[in-house]
Amino acid sequence: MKAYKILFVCVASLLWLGTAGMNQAQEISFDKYHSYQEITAYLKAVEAKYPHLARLSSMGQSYLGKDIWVLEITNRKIKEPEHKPAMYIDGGTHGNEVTGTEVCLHTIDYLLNKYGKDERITRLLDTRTFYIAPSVNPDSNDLFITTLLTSLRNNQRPFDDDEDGMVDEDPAEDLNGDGVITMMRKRDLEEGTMAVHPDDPRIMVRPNREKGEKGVYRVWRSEGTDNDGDGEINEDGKGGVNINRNYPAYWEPAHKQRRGGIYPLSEPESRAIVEFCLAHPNIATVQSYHTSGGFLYQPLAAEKISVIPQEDQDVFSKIADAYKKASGNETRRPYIERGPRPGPYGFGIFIDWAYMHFGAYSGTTELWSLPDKYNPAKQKREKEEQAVEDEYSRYLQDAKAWFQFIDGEFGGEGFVPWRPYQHPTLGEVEIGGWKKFVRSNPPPKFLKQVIEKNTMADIAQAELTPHVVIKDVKLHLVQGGEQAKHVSLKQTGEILRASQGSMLSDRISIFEVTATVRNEGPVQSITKKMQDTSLPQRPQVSDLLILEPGKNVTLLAEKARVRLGALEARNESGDTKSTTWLVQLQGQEGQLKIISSSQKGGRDERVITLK
Amino acid sequence: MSIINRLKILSGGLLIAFILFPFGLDLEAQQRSSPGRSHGEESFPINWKRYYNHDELTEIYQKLVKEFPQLVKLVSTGKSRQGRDLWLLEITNFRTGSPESKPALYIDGAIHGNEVQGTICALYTAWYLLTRYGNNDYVTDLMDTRAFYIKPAVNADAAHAFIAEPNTMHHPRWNYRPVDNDGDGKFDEDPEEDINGDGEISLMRRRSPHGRWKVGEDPRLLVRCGPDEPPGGWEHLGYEGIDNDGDGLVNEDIPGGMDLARNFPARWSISAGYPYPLSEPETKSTADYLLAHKNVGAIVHHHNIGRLIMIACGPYERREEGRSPFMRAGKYPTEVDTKMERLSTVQVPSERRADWINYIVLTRRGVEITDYNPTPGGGMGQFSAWGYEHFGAYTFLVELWNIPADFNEDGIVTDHEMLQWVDRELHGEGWVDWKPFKHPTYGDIEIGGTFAKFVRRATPGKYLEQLAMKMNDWSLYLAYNLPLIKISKQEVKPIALVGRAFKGEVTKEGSSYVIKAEKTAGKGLLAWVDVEVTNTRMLPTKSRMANMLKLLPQDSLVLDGKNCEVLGYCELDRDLRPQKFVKEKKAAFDWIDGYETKRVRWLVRMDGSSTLEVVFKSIRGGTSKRQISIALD
Repeated sequence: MKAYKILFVCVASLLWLGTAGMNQAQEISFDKYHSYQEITAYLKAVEAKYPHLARLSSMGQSYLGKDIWVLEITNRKIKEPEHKPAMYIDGGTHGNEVTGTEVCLHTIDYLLNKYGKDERITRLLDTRTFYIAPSVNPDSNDLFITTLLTSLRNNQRPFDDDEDGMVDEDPAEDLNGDGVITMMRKRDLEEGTMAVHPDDPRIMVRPNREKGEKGVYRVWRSEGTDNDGDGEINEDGKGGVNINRNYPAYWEPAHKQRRGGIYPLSEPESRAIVEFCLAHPNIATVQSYHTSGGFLYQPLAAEKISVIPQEDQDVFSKIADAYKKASGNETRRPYIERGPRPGPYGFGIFIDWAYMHFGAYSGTTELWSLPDKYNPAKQKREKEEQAVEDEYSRYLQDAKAWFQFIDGEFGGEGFVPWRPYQHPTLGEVEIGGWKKFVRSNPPPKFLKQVIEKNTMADIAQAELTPHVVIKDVKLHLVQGGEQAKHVSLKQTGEILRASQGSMLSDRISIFEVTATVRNEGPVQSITKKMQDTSLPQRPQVSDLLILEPGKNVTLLAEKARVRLGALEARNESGDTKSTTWLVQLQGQEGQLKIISSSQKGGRDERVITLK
Repeated sequence: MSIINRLKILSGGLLIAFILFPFGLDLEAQQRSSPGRSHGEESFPINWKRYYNHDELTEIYQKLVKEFPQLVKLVSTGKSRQGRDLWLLEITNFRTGSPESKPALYIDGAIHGNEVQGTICALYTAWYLLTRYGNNDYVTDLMDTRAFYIKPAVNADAAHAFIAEPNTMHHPRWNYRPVDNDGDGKFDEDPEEDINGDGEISLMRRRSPHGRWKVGEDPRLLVRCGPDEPPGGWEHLGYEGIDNDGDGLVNEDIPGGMDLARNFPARWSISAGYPYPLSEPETKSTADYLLAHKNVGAIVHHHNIGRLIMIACGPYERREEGRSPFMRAGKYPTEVDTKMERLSTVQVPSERRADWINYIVLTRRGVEITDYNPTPGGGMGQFSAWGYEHFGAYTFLVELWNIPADFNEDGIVTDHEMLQWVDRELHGEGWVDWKPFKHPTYGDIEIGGTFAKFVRRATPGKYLEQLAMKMNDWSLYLAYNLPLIKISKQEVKPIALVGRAFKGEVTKEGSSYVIKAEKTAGKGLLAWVDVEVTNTRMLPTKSRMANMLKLLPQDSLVLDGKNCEVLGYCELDRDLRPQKFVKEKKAAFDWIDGYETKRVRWLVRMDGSSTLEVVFKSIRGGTSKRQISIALD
């Protein structure tokens, strides 16, 4: 006893010391973007601070060998994390789209801080699990944060962008040493394609060709030199394969889609994510953050929405409604059904895989767009009465929007003004352009308002998962009696005569056990698409009711594992299913266990004692 | 051949012979006494009348490497699910260049574990090439200019188990990915077994008054009763085995797996096989190896059964019947013509038409050799579809073997006919008779009533060599027709001494030119250098599909040298008219077709005597070099 006490004190003090040290590291602010090192330190700190709620693991290593962290958040004391319906959230799939990373970190912070304080979050972490991977393309994410490089959409597998047999040999550079990689322009009346905006000399616009205007500037989208001397500037930067085109659903090889990888899941990042999901089939809903645009993409990207059964479309609508409510933004379908160029948005996209092959409701939020105040699209809708301008003047108007934003909010900070520079091959040029955190990722000042809304959308989406529980177990005694082992049978003609011997014998009781399960979640327990998909050499996914006989109990009738199919969403009538078994109890007391097992709806158990 | 070399071969041969056969063979004596004349094969005898399991194969590979170190390398492309090495033989004459520098043929077998003839066919070609090298000019030439990548057992675990253990003819077919077939949360827990220990997994039957099976015309066969017939007295209980997991069902969760031949990304969908393409080490290692060896221009992929040559030609349409480019009017069609006729309605898109024509020519020879039926193929998740549609190699899936027992020629081989054939040709050895057995669940039953494992799908041992020889003939023909690029002609035509018109004399000595001109210090010679490259074989350096895939860089012809500046080049048409001038050293082509010649003319300025080198480089067409020396007097 004494030894236990000492041990307890030791452990407690160690824990106290540990948390005291960690408390500081665990504090996180959302007025800046975080590097891989900071993310790693933060995740380790929260794991140490909330050992009963948070558990950190690595899904695998990136191309350059960085761990792809995933933090599991749930109250493990109530039930195993794998036995609860789960939501998977990731950020940073595209290396330069780092706002999603911050949403992930904020959601982690919010969930852990509110548990035990906020009823909604407490209930959520009691019944659901979160798997949150803030940076799934850590090589490129970290380069984007810690270096000047800008075009880092893909992973860091060396890639021959210009098909000259060399890889990554002509990246962009900060030529004028102002700490930013921007654009270059050169006055050129011969080959120039761009003109200067009549109202604002910073803005490059295309000339009004209808009025016979001509281009006066050649514009290079990034600052740099022709490193490989092939006459082109910055045509082969660092990386890589677009990991969000590398998933097995609708994947196509290079002649149909470049950068999708040499085969599906050829990239360590996408393979790690898929292996993680397959090892956690309880993931019922998925959010994969990208930027920018300010809307939620819902499947499918490669095929028409008619492939999705109506039942599942209803669920996607529920998720869309929750998103709209939390963020105030719209939702879209990436596949273009109408218009001049209808067709797939891309092949091998993660959310298509998650829904089509993995059976989870999925979505990608494109974070960040121009605030409404500066957004010409929203402005116009308000003043619809206004006289219709011609297309070109509307174009000029729209081109000013981002400049009005930085002028209004930051006094022009955010756009590096054009400054002359002597370029080694181009001669006299001007260098200037957008800074990193303005257009595709929000300026730090706007970061918090973007991520807070989306954390609330995540929470709403996590609630839109199935939750299958055992509602009740009923016992009904069919018959009791003495065991027949001392009964002798005699046949006389057509009649069988039973007579009992005089020895004492065990008591036998036969019970009917009826278990009822219920889906308390607002969505069906298996997507309709998965119910309809045949997976060869693999049993059809189904919710199960299992009876495990314990001491003194034998199962007499019905299979031990009963396949229930899918359970409907919580509603007035059809959300329960039951099974009845016939069991035999030998003696006075016995036990059996009822297990409800739903891949995406969670697992529930009841131990029943028979008397 | 020197005495030492002879001794080497003799001792090596003796060593191998000693291990594989208990009695030694004297090579010299055998060559002398061999009326059919040995071509080297007797120096490394392999018994081609049987199958080999993984351990035996490993031993054979290792001995081949030891015996022919300059000709073969053994590579482990990865580990199988059960940890076996996924062996691949790289075969070429390494002294004439690495395998990667030569056009290559890839051959594999046993992607389905029970389809083990493919292993023998693949191994046979390896052995044939190695033992005949130096003894036969055709093989020697192939080994000098081509590479062979041979992976005899893709699904190494299942192929091993199929051979080494009692099995039905159908299993194990898949790899050993654990799969819960009956959904009870346990994996692979109720396999089939050889419960009566006769070395075969056969059928179980039980007497029953309600049974819908009866004893057939041949009393050894159990036949299903007709719908209007009364019960025949026998119940069919499925394949031999017990209820291992006590769930009341027999053999409901057999080991495995993934159908590896549905695990490739081409035309794959989730219904080809959960969870994703190349999820298995056996398939991923194959794809990764090929993608690291893009010089493979053709693939032979062995399966069984059905006597088919399936051409992986990509998506196609069927044209209406009636027109036949393969039959000439006024001539009775041969049997080969009739078989090829089936391909006449296939229509592939025009951008791949050239591939299809090549396919037809290659296939025709295959049909002549094997008498198999040609058909377009390549479906969902199949390796053959991937080989062509995602890898751009000419890919053939061969369904080897079928029992030649269709005696009444109705197109169907019935069990009855099979049994007749087994009696006639195997003298009854391929049939397992019914024997009584006491089964723990079913009580008194009989076990038997099947063809033995190595009879129906697998080729019986005594026919194996015939089969392998035919496939070998065709494989070598395919390898022969891979592109072979030769720099066929080169010529230097002086234009001017820089600064003034050329005056002087040009003489040619072999591939060297001697130009006598007035010397002018600091000034050089301006000249045209014409080079012709010819593909001296039938297949192009890149299939049209490979070109569409952009998997390979362009073929290139580069002129470079010391003391000279290459100013640019122009292609010449067949009448030697110059085309557009390009300021590059490197002339690039999408591909060079079979027997096609490309002519390139470079403009070169030489500052004194120099040696020019022309290098042709193509991943699938190989590399070729020529030097031109120019002495400027």
